[in-house]
Amino acid sequence: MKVEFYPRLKSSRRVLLGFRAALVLLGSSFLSAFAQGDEHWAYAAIDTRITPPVTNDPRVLNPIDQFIFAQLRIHELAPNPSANLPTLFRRAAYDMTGLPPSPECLQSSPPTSQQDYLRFVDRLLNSPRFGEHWGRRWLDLARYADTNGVDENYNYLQAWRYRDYVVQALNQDKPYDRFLTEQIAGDLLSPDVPWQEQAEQIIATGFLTLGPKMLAEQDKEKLLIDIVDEQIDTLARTTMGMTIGCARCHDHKFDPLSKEDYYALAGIFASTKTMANTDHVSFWNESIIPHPDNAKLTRHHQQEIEERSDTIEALRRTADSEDKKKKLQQLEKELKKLRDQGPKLPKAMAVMEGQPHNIPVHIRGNHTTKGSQLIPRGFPQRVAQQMKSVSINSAQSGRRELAAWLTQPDHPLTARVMVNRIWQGYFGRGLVATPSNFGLRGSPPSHPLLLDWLAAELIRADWSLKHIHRLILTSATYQQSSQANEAARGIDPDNTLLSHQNQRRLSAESIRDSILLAGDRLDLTMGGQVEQADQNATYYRGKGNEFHSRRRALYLPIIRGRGYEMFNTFDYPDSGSHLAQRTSTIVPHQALFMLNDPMVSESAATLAKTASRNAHELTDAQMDHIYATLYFRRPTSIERQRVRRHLDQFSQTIEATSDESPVAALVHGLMAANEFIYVE
Amino acid sequence: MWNNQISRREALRLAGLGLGAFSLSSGGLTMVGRQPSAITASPSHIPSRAKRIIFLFMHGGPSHIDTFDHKPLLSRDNGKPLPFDKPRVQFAKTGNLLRSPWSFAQHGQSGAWISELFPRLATQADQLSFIKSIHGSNEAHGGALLKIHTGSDTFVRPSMGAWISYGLGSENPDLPSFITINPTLGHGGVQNFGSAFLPPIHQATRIGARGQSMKNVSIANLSGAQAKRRLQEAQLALIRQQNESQINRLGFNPDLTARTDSFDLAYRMQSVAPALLDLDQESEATRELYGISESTTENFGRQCLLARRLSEAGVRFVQCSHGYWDQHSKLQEQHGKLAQQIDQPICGLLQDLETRGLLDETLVIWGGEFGRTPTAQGKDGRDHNPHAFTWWFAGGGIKPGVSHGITDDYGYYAVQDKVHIHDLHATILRLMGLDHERLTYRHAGRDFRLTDVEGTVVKELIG
Repeated sequence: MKVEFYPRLKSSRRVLLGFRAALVLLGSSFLSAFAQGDEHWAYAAIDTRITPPVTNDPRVLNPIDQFIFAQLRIHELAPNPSANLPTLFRRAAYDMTGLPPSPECLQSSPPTSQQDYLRFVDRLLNSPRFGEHWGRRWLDLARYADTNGVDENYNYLQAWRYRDYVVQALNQDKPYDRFLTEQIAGDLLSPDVPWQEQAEQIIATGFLTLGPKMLAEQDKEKLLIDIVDEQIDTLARTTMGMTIGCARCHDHKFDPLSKEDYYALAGIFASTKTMANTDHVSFWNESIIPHPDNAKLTRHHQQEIEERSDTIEALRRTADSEDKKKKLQQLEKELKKLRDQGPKLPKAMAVMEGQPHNIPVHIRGNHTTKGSQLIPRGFPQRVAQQMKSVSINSAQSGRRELAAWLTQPDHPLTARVMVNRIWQGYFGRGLVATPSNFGLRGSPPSHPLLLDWLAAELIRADWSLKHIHRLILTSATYQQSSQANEAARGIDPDNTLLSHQNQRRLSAESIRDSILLAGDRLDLTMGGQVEQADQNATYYRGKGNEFHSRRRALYLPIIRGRGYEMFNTFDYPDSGSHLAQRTSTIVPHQALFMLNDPMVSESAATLAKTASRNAHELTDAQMDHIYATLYFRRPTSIERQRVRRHLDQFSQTIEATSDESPVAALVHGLMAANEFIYVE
Repeated sequence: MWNNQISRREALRLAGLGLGAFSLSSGGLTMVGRQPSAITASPSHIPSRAKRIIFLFMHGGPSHIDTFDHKPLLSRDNGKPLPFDKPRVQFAKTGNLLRSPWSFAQHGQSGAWISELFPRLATQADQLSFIKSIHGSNEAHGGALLKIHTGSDTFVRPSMGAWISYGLGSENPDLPSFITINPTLGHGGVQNFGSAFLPPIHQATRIGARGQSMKNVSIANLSGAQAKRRLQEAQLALIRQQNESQINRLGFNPDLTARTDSFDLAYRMQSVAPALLDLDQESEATRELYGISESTTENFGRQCLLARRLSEAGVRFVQCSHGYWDQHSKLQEQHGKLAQQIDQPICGLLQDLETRGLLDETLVIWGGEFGRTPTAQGKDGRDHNPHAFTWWFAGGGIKPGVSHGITDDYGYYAVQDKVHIHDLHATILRLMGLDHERLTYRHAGRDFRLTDVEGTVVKELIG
């Protein structure tokens, strides 16, 4: 069945509602029937000729609004006016950096115009906090962690280098095509670049090795093919929104992906060396990264070996007593250890080229029952057939070509998937609501023309991600207030059409960082390895919650299988696999955390003390400071009365002998209220 | 309002918000109305007697051939080579056959074989039914634990307890529906009691962790201090008022309302849970029954007694973990010690449940992640063996006195009426009134099940 997908969007509201009702009634089987066949929107080429619908609407600030407002008009809805400036500042600050704006910004020079907002956006786009916040989102996709997890919870002592690479790349606005290429094939790129870039290229391939591995699996062939599977799954979902993992055992049930497509890709990673060995408990590859000191370190190491050898030789000639012989043995043992260890050069988790080879289909995904034919390494046919062809050099793994193929401007998925992820970060939901599944079972785009226009825009801007961020942030659509009006609530209860902004809860990391920041206890040092409980040990042996670092949450080691309780409670689940979007649940444990965790009460006490020396009373200015810190706004007169009333009550409740402060109890209550952890 | 326009995903998310109750009908979720609790009991697929589960998980892999799977030929052929091939993949190298250091006897009307490791449990023989032909595929602890708990040793999947919580909901609005006591944080860690893609409300609330003394464990962030309570009540009023004025400003938002309500639920949980966790509220006789006064049995006795209290209060799935049954060497010494730690507490648990009329509706399960080899590792140990192991069942919904499945003459492989871990899961769900093929969740474009595409119910076990 061949179906024109786009015209549906120009049709009347009745048709849309009918479509929606049908969806509810029939579930997604309707959708797959609707979209089956060759014309699945996501595999069609990106339409680079789309122009924004013409309008003379004065509220339009940039082309995004032309697309969004046109759709709203079809449904007889109007966009909301812009949110008030403090609300907008707070929203943008959280969306861009994961942190609230500084309260001084409200108190000393409150924003007065749209120009102030644009300057604010530019400032934050250049803030190092931007790369930290958006880097964390990328790390979700890359299933980043600091330990292996699953069976043998080995420390990934070098993983932090990849994390820092991601933060830095996003802060520098490294072009997205380059960013992907380095992560897939950085080790194969030209070495004729400064050493820093060489190092980055190697570190970037950590993307492929960060997954959990069954290190103690004794069927080593299974271990290796499971690693390949995990790599393909993460890579395809992250870059193409493709759930190709299903095709390991059978042709994909819904998407045009065959077993052969899967094993063509699998051959590329089977030809890549991810593991250093396949011992009883296997170990992954770590590559030396270039640094100007490396030569010196190597020389020193060599010198030390020579010196020690000389000492041993001298001793051997005079070794006449038992004591001296024992000493000699000891020295020889140490020398051997020194030799084996090699010079202490910096290393990164990284892949290398392996033995290039093609592999057969594993029947029903089982490595002990293989098909008779070798599948040539290559790319999913349904997507590749319409693109400029790329052929794989048979003497190499094919990663270089895979990266080139993914970042070709005619790739239908790469740019679409990435702009959709950015959109999701600013509205809580992507234009495609299933950000890592653009297949037939994924959601169709709510605004297909806008999605294509943004994707084309990303490519036109030489893959500058910050260009897309700025476009969204400066649109009227983004700046709308979040109150839904009656009409919108009736016609579009999920706000798919974006007649207003969405009220969104902060992520676990933002909540933690905001709590610490409110008490002025957040350490903004960037990068590097946060001290691990048992630094340099092979196994992770701690209990999981002992990192009392006050660095941003991003820098706390992520221990697979032992997540921070606070993170788990606020929906950052185990980091064992690609995470396309965080959920936002509401469970009583979150309330218990806000009521009883010392992190919250300590920050509340600090903020209370900073605000007022008197633990029982607050002046208007002091109240302003507390509200600016927590909510980035002034209290209303009703709130001022409420605060005073509660302060009196807390004073009566707290026993005279107790050292608890009523003002601290008040601040604690305000921190536990919704507004502190929601953006409007 | 929103109830006829609500999307499936939204509905599921709201299930965690205390806004709705859900029932499972023909495999799909249907909204049935506004309820005050977080997750409310849902009708099951199939009528069943079992309402709750207590899972006694023996971490490390207890030896089936030294406990419940009696192998006379193993004694006869002690020291001889195994007369057939060992598996293609083994965890470690093993040598010749090693006899069990313990003698076996038949107990009760059913004539169940139980070794002398469990003299107390043997008095309850007629309550028990055994599956002796369980087999998995993963020969390492991590993979085997994940397989047992989540059905997958390859991918991150929801745990059995989370599936049951999702399928049946909570019986008590003031308590979580899945609690795990002293679990290991290694070998898969929280994944073994996590909810993966199911709504997080179904993940286990953890009490303690492996190696912690039960005397001083609790639920995170539960505060019982009375003085703090009064202040907290005043703070809750402030929070509610502050939230209400925000909602008035922004208009209706179910999330904001639900989050306001969640503070009340948290506060109720805080009122109920500390008393439940306090074992001093039990009589001396009951504590005695669980072996709490003896130092050997105290810790696991406390786990079992707490499990009964939580279960009685309506927690659907309580898991108690005990270990570490991984005797690559010193089998006799260590298995002996471990068995002693659990024998009285488990016997006490079964008796106590029966006295209180709870055994009929509480499914008690005992088992580890794999069995052990009949061949010796070193001189006095046994290696991991995922090819054959035994679990037993008691109480809710089972037919007692059954011994299902047979292993070979030495207990290396399950050979007759083999029960794969997927079959085990299908059977446990069936005992809880859930059809494993209809208990599904839509994620990443397809419907997922605890049993993936496998699973056959062991009908012989169903009462």
